[in-house]
Amino acid sequence: MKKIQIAGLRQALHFSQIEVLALSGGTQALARIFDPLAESGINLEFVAFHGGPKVPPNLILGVHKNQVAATLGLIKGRKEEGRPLEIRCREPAGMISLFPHGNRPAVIGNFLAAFREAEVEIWALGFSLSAISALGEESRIPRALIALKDFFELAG
Amino acid sequence: MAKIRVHNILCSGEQALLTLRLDLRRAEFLPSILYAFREEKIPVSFLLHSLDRKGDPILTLILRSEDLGWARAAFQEGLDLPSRGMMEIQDKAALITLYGPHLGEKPGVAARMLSSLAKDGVEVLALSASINSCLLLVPGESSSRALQSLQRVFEIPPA
Repeated sequence: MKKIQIAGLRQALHFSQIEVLALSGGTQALARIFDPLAESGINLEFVAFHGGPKVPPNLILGVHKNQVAATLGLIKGRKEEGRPLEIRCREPAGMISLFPHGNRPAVIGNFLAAFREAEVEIWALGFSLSAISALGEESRIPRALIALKDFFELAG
Repeated sequence: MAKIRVHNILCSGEQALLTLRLDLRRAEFLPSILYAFREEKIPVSFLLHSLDRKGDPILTLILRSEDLGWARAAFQEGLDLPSRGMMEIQDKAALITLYGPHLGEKPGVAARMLSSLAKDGVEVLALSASINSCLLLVPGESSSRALQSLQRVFEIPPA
């Protein structure tokens, strides 16, 4: 298979993935979660929020492990529309960010294929303008990184 | 409070959101379908993935509305989806991209953005933020309101 050229690949360890499942209450509920985190200076390295017209949305946060206790302390026990937030924490987590040069569908295809080949489960996947980032179990991240090198190569 | 400086705020209309609830067996075929997107030159604006309570993948793709019919058929056939239940679609959405030098390093950017959007009654359909940018999907009819709302929080310094 021809490798796809990319601008970079980054690994970051010592994270936790905090998930708020089936969050109801729309944008106001999101704001009520983010406001206290901001006031406490908690830096969110990864944020993803998605669902569908009938799929209640999940909110996924990637937080450095030294801020996990504070983050959970601020969101646990909160209620939206009368129901306690359903929170799950996956740790230890690591994050891989891949910086592509356009051609996104093929890049995503190879990215998913590399994780599958390495038998590393993707806990969450998100996009920025310049990168695709995936969170997964920390101990498995180096294995995914090796597999990614079979699908991508650095340009130049 | 001072506005947050960003490089740019862009808005693309005519976007659609396609959400798939998959089992692990079907998820294995996703790379092949995405390669077909490449062959057909169909761009994916962004993609989000998480796991539901049972550990099954939930996948959301944001793509151009004009490509929705093709994408729907590709997933339907490629993943052998039942006619109902595993795929949901929301059309007529707008993609807003905030691009800044420091979004991943500065706490509070997402909070200020979401507070402003919530205050102005803008529904957020999907959101992805990391490193240097934030991608936001809102209903098409509220894109102007969303942009006005964001301009109260962010500023683009003159070149």
